[in-house]
Amino acid sequence: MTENITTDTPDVGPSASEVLDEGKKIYEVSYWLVPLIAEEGVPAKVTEIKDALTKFGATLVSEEMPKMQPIAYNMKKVIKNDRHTFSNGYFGWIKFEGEIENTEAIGKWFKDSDDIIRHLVISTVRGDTRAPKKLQTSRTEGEPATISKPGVGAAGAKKDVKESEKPAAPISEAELDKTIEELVVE
Amino acid sequence: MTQCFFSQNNMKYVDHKDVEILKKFLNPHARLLSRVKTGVCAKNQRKLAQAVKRARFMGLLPYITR
Repeated sequence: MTENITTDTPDVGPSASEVLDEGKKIYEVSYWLVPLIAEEGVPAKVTEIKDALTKFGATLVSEEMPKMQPIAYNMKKVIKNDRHTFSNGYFGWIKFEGEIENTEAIGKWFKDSDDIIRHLVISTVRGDTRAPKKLQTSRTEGEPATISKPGVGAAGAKKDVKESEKPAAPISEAELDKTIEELVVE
Repeated sequence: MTQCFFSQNNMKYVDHKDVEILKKFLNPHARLLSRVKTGVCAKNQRKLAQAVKRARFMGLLPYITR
């Protein structure tokens, strides 16, 4: 007997476009490592995290090594009955394919770890979701390549138009000739 | 009429790690700008709001400034 598998399912949600094992989805865990770890000790910690994920039946997809950076606000974490306040840490993320049932256990492992200040497990897609390095540049040619400012709705657009439409001071032909002559004399 | 920033750049997803992009849609108090000001379509505005909330939780963006 063969099972009828419908292949023409509508493309809804991030997971629909990918063929995954039953009950498996792509997840991403981003985390902050405590700054108490020395720079050299970070790769070892990442390996520890990866091993834990593998233990929970996850298959690693992609990752970014944690980098030291400031946290936008102070975060508190109790480590061995000591309350620590952190203003910076190592931020990294790992994308993995795992089963839905295991995500809770993975989250608990991260929460219980003394080396992780905070973590977030989200459902995502296999590909890179980050913005491309080269974003849409300004439309007019000759201008420096800058990211087009999104903060211009109806009000902002009007303002831009007004500024560009400002007429230059009118110069009569006689005045123009005069200025050219002056320039030539000099 | 301005086109949605994310549609214009063919960005299907709004990642909470793209802090520099998310910052463009916040006001000086670190609050998310309205659709009227961002010019982002409704679908992407919802994605944007979700990404900003995640970034705030993860300490990549502040909840409030000033």
